[in-house]
Amino acid sequence: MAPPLRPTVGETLSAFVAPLATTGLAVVAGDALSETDVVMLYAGAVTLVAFRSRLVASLVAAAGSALAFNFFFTAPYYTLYVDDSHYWFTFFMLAALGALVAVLASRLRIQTEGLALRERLSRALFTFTRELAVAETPGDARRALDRYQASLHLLDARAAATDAPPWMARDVDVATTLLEEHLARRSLREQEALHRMAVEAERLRSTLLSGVSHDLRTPLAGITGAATTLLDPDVALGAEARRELLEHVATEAERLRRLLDNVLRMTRLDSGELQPNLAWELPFDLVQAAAARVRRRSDRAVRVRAPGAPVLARLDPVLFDQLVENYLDNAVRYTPATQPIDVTLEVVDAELHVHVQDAGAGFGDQPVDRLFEKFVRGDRSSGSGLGLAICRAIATLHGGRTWAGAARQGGAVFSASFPLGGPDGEPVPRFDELLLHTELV
Amino acid sequence: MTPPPRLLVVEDEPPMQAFLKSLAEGSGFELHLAATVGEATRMAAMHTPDVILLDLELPDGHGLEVVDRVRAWSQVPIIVVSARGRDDDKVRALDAGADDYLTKPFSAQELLARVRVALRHRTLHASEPDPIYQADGLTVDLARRQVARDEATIALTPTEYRILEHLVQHAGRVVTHRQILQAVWGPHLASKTHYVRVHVHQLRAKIERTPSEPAILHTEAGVGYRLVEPNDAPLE
Repeated sequence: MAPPLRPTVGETLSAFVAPLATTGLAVVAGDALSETDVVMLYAGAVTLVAFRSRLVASLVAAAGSALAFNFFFTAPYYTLYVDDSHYWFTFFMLAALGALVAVLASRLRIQTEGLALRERLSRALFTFTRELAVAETPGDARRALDRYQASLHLLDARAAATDAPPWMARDVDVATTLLEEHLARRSLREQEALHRMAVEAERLRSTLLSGVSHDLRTPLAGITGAATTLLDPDVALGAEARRELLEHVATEAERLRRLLDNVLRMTRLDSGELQPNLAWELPFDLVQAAAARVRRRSDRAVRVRAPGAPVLARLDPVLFDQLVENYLDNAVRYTPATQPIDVTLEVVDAELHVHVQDAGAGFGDQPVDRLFEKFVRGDRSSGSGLGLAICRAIATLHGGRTWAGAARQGGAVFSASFPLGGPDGEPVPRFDELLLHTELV
Repeated sequence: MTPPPRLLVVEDEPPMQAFLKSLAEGSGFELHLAATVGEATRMAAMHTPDVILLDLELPDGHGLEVVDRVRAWSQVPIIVVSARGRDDDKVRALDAGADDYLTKPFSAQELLARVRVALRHRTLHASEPDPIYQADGLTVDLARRQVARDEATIALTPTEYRILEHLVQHAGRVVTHRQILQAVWGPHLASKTHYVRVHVHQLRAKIERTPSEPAILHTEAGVGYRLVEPNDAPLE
């Protein structure tokens, strides 16, 4: 915008056109208008120009009007000669009127423009505070300030025309302070959360350790007993007895290992420090591998069935494998050695369902869902009471569920669901399409 | 009589050292012990071992450094030992050129089986690679590019054959998804490991006697695949 005193093109034009147009109108009207009426017409024109323009244009319009009035409507006509001082008065009144209106109007205009600018500034500040409130990272917060400053920059030119800059500087100060406070609050909150997490993890670890300390002592006692017996020179042992003791050491050590693995795994799952390592896996192949391991270890028949075409699912293979193995171990432990175990995979509503079914005695009237809680064991259990809790944590981490129930032919079914697209529900690639697209040519 | 195979064990924990020492003595290995990254690299150069058993957690650094440094000048089989739950480390070491892995704690039998496979591959590298692989009734003839089960020819797609070929060349050892991906599709697809999974699934359906209970091609969750040792492998 132009500096305040220099008239714009439009103003200059109106300052010249207004007196001319008024003169034209008055000439056409002729004798219908008295001299006073003509002066009033000029006064109106000057007021009109002054209201829309700045001082200089108003004075030009006033001067133009006075000259035109003098030239066309005062005797002697068509000269600029003024024989009556009365007309000087008319000229000064017109000029004064123009100046007064121009000054008032321009003050009003500056105020209006200032108010509009103020409103925009407030809106920008409001947007900034709102963005700051929902900012998720310090980066988001800083970007919000950047955007705010950019919007101020746009307003800058406008501001130069008014008396706004002091407001603006104050607003920028306010915004910067807000940002600093926001960042400080956030870092405090984060520290608090970290601290809470550490305390929580520590509490969990100690609960878990105290929960299993008895189970830890039992195999340790067995190992110590067997080893000291073997070392004792006073105990005469046959080769067979020595071998039995050594086997005892090995099995108890293995039990100890599995217990500790479970405690560590449970702690990591519970404390939230474990992020699933997601990949597009073939659950059928993973179940097969887990089944093969359990078969080798327990000499038990484990059958795996998956009707329909193979499916891909987004999951952490190691955790999934762990869940299946825990279910299988559970079935092995609680059912007679002659009974087979069946694993079935099916897809239900874009979810993979895994069922591990045994032909044992079932649950009787035990509350089934409680089995998935930590340290809750079945009636005849010798486990740590963590296996099924780990299964539940694994399924939950994938956005799935675990449940158990009675099989139709008696026995128990342990189930878990996994969304095929993973916890984030990504689009699932189709097995046959993938096979086709990736074939070498 | 051939000299005893040399085993370099990189391990810093005394109980493990004691266990491995007695195991090596009992099984007729010449044992060298190193406890740090620096020592391991030096001893690998000095004693030119036939197999290296490498713990990934060492006091002065990560076992991966040893894999990198040794691989710069030697193809000696490296078996990495990792703690349970550190699968990422394991896979990284395998991708970096380690040959196989063991998870702590492991039994004497597991360790000896792995070392035996590694030694067999070492002698194979030295002489002619065996062009015919046989296991559980399956025959893979790498020279004639033919695959058969009990005399009946099996038709494989080019992709399936390339995967099988790579697995046969590494029979008995674990092969990571990424290694197969690179061997078959080239190095530009690093993250598409599910390509491997779908083709291995199909391959298994064709070569296994009972595909639902695989006896030849085993899945190792989160790591890769392992093709069993061939029937004619020397059993010490």
